[in-house]
Amino acid sequence: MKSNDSPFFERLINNIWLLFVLGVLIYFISYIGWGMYEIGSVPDFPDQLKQETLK
Amino acid sequence: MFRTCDITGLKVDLKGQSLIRINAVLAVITLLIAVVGAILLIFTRWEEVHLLSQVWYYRILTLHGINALIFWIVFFEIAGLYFGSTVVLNARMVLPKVGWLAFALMVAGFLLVDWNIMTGQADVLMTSYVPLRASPNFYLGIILFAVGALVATSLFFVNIYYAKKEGKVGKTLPLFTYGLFVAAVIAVITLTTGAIVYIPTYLWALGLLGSVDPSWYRLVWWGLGHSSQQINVAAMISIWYLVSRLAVGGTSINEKVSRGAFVLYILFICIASAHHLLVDPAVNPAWKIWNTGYAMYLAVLASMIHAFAVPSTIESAQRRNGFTNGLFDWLKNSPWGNPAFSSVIIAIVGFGFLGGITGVIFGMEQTNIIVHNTIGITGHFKGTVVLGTSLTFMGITYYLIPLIFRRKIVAFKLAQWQPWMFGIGISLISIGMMSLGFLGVPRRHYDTTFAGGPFTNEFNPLTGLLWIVTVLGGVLAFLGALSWILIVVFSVFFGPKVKGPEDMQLAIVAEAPAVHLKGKYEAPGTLIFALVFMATFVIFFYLNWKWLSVIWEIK
Amino acid sequence: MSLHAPAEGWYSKKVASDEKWWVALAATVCLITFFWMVIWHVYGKQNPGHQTYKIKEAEFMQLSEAFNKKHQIGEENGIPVVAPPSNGDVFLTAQMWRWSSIPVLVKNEWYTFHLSSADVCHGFSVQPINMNFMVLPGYDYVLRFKPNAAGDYKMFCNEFCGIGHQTMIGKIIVVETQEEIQNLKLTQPKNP
Repeated sequence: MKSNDSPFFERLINNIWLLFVLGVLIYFISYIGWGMYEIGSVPDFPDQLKQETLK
Repeated sequence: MFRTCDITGLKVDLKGQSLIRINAVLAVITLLIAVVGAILLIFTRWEEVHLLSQVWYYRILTLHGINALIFWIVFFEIAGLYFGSTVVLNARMVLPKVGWLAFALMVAGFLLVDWNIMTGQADVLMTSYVPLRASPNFYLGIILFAVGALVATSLFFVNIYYAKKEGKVGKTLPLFTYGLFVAAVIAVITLTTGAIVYIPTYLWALGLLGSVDPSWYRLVWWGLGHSSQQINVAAMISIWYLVSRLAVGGTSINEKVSRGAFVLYILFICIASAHHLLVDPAVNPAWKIWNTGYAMYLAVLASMIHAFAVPSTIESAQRRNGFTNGLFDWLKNSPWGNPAFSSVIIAIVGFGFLGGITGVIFGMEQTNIIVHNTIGITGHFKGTVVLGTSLTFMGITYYLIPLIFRRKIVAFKLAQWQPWMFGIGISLISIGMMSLGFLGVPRRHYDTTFAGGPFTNEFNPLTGLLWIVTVLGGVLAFLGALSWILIVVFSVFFGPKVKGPEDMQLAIVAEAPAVHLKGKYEAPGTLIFALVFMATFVIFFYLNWKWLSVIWEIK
Repeated sequence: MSLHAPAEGWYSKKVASDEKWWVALAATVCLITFFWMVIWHVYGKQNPGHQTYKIKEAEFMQLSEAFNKKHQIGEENGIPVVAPPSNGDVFLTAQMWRWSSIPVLVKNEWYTFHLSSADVCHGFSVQPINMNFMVLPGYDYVLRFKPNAAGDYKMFCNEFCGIGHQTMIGKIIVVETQEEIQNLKLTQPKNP
């Protein structure tokens, strides 16, 4: 943050608060968010198959 | 209100010290509950004895799981977080009163949960998958515990923030505290997820909410259940670095590499909670592969980096201390009489070979089909959480007793044997259970003869022998854990007081001299071990996929 | 250093050659492991399905009862034995603490299983081949199977489903050919 002459990756390693935010974000987007989206988008049982089975 | 440690020269905030002590005491109590449960369970699953009744089997299983995987480990980690953010940094405990509040919440939660389990109001196992229903107070207890732990974790961040602000620590944290920081971030993820899943479940148990979707519950619950074990991984590896420093004077041979690996943990380790949902309906293969694979196995890469970095820390220091002969002279001349050191070495080997390899391969999307919910999964996490984390925590305690509790370790000879007893015992359980799992034996099952059911099942006759291995391991591990508990309790309450450096039974070795080592490699012995590890990984990989390829075709 | 902040210049220290090679090897293995799962979806023959439907517990039970009635050929220990047509659907309900039918399958034929639960979460564990899936109430997990060997298979529940869980075991029969189904010795159900 302060010394702009140090390499990007060194600054990233030292910037613990940024890493904190990134860690929380990646988890909530990749695992929780995407997972909930998947669960929400499960389709209903198809009517046609239901009728065929009950026939 | 500081005291200056006459052994390490560190400044210890007394308010922080009492919080470290009290959380460590609760850790020991909850471990005792877990260990007593464990021995009852193992003699129930071994059907030659079949000790408990069916109701009490599931009840004690619930008790064992929660106390071992949550209470023992989190109480210990909170003690560790306070230690890493105050003592190590010469810094103060900024908000001790809030620390006591957090502690009170955690104890209330722990008591409420255990009480509800033992009175038969929560026969739902640790995972408490809906729509199995426990009494509302069970969920409330977990919420209280999680909130308490979350408050305590926040105090770690507060301590770090002020230590930085007050100039106690510069831009770069010490590696041990850096690792703990990673553990604390994972803890925040875990505990927040716990609140997300348990608050609606609590309302549902109270009758205020119609239903909780079982698929949603499993998704979010495992964000808690799996990630909580990743807190352990980060905390455990931090302790490995710490013990390398204390026991042989080692420092990471390359801080950039070690820290880079920790960064990969923060970013990617928690998404592998998907391990548990690989044979679930609602989520699709793309989600499964990406998440179970830690986004291209980046967190596994991190673990493999540590698998080299920690032993090479020890090797490099030992070589610089003068043990330069051959490939393994450094290892032979390591301080094996130091129980913290031997605990860490056993933990590294066990975590890698037993827990780590199986963790990756059981957690691949397709191979999970042949292990999911078999007792092989239990065998896997005996390797990671028990052999890795619990043994590491036991090991570092041998340093905490003199440094934080200011007592000498009683029965030091027994303490030197204890890591081996526990380590070999858990290894046997782990190997036994994993082999049983490949033969289809289910986990969390009272009676694999299926008495009372419409059919019976003939297992491979080898299972009889494997159960004996498992039970032997169980007895040995029980004795090992019990020895540790007794040593800790007697040392802390009745041990002779530590008056100065001359009372230290475990050496604190000065940093190894910065001499330049001859030869192309910094840690050739470690490289050999690492290559053996990789070969084992490849063999196990092949066996599992080979097995998978001969079962029914599945689309 | 682990106990103190590292000395200045820690970032610019060169990585030792053994560590460098190890990290490169580990990274390669990690990438292979990841893409292995993707490639198995293309060339492998065992991939968990990705078809799932939402369905109410009661509705699914209706379907599985209708399926049992249509294809029942006998009874064993009070559980209907059913012979679905190859390439057909098999509706299997898990319920505390029983499976709704004993399917009879023909070797090397495909069947579309619909797995769901009437109450809590269950596990579908087929032995001795050790094939395991989750069964959740409210979800129809559609899995297509092609048995590759004849014989009696057991299916346990391997997810804790209440006290009594340990009695939950069922059976799948796989026969060599369609004709063998007629030769199975089965008791007939008492009520027609």
